Amino acid sequence: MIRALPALVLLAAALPCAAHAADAKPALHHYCDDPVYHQLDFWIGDWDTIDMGDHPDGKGPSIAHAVITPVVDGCALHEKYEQTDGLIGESYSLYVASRKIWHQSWVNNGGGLWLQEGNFDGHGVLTLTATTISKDGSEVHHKITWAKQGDGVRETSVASKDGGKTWAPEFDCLFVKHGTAQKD
Amino acid sequence: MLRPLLALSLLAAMAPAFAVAPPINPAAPNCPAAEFHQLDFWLGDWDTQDKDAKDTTSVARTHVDPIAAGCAVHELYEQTDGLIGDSILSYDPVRKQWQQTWVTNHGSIMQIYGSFKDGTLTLQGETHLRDGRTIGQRITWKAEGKGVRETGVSSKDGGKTWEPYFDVLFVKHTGP
Repeated sequence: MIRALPALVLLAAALPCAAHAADAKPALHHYCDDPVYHQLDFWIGDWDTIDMGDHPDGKGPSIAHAVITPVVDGCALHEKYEQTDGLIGESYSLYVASRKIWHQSWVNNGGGLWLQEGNFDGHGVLTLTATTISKDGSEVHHKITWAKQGDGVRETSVASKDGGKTWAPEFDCLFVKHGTAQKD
Repeated sequence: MLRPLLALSLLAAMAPAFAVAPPINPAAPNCPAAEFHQLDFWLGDWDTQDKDAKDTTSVARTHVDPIAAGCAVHELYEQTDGLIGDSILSYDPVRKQWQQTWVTNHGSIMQIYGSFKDGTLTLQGETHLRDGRTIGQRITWKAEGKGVRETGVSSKDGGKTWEPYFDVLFVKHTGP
């Protein structure tokens, strides 16, 4: 049996004479056409990344090249993030219809894994939260937001190690069209 | 502040005792620990045979590649019936477990977790379907001959009972 939606599995199991999936004509998939899946599409693009902590006016050199592309017929966004200091990260972001939330899975070349969940507010700002565990077993909470800003996208993170009582800035960056950041 | 590794962020914002990963050294290989590479037997360009089918016609082309400098694995699964799945698998050195996030062009997401035992990776968790249903999922990977066998079972009763879901053998892609 091949990997299938349960409905297809049941069909295949119930109707042994049905055409094998491999023989079926590839169908166009529009499962994720609803606008709810596309609220984060403003992040799609080829971006330079400005460190807003160092350059609050948004005018500075790029500290990372980030490419965000739609994948799986628009059901998710793939991010490839390459920071000039060697950090490389990749993520999927998507709307999870069954739970009415947004999810992001992020991995990086330090062995880090962040699983983040959250939602859009009424103003087009997505906030995801993640909990990571330190080596000593303590939890760190992260709150990351994405918002359209001018022609770019602002991504900001704060972190708390006291269960959410106090938050400290973690990163704050502005994505601008690739090639438009100031040269070093 | 730029997007840091967890360790760097914690160093910057908090006490260094909370660091969980070494700082990035671009000159050194990342994630050298053997755990990160337990699944490397799946890296490759594969045809996918349905073990329950009468013939060995490929039902999917599957590309499995290292990403994030070898710290994680990316799978692109393109089934001939149009189903596309994209996934990231990674070893979490803090929780000491493997994790997979799998998304499809059917609007579903699966997150499963687990570990290796005797060369077999077993991950278990849930798939959230676009229509709101949630199904339990347990999937195993193991090297088989020159290929890789991936077998999935599913549960509709919260893990009490399991039934076959899929069973495939990845063999090296041949042809164009």
